[in-house]
Amino acid sequence: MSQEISDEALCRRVAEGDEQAFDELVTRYQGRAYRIAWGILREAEDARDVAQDAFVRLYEAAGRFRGEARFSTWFYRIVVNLCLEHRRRGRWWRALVVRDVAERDGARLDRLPAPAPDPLDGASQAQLMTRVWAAVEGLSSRQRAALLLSVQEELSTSEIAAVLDCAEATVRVHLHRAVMALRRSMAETG
Amino acid sequence: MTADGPEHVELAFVPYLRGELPRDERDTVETHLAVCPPCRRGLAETRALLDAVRRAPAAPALDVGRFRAGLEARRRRHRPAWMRPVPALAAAGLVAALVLLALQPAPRDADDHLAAVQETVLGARLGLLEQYPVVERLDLLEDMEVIGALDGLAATGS
Repeated sequence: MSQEISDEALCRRVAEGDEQAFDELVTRYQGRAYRIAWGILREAEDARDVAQDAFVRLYEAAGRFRGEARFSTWFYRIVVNLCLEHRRRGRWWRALVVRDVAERDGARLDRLPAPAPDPLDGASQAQLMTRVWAAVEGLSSRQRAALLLSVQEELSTSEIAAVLDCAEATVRVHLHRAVMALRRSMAETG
Repeated sequence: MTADGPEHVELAFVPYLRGELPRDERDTVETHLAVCPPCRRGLAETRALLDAVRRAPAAPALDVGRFRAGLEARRRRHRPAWMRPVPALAAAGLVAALVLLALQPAPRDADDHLAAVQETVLGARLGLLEQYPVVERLDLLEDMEVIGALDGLAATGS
């Protein structure tokens, strides 16, 4: 399938039952969906599950995509909503079990970012990243989602507002509080 | 806006760094920064933090093959019931019922009505035929018919 076909056109084809178009959208967005989900959930397995669910929802809801926003914004909204729902469902019991087992086994690799690809990054850089991500983990789900969509996915404030279904001013507040919390956390651990 | 008052410009740091502020707001921020060392320090910290978050490789690597297999399994589970594959047992039962019907002798004209009734009754019992152990033992019933016929022959012969 040609790369020239827009995401929006592919989504319309999916609404008509075009499996090949669906496959192409999965190829284009699987990495991003997983990355966003992992950023919010910080569990690789949960992130995979949510990203897969997001594509199932996409397939079922493609007919409701009106094309008023970009496809990416619409799809990110599905992903983020599923992440927030996932966290709301309250997995406190699971967190206890997983944490207990993982800490006993010393196997919390899934919660850690992948190693930095830049070989010039030294140990201090790695330590800094570990601290940053520990601080990010302390943010609320919405703050984290706003921050990651802004910084890593480079969405504009208005796009983030569309994804989170809130006002742009609210996004600014989320971002401000996220940054303030990170600064406080970094200062405390520094 | 004052340097030491409550109206610092921290709320605008992220959109300012991302170049999203309209001209007048950006001018306001820069005017404030020029006279507010705490906000300048805060802006520098914010820039460094955002850079760190941006550069941090986010997620552990995604196994694409496993992801696609999981997605396909999820899609199968979400399909409406009528689109799912017929369970093997039910299919076997249906095939057995059809075979039995095909093996029935052609009804004579006089028995057309009776045959139709039999088919209706058999159709109502298809659920029973879906139970494999029942289907599996149908040949025993045929054997019993043969034994019964042999007994009849033996009786007339003696």
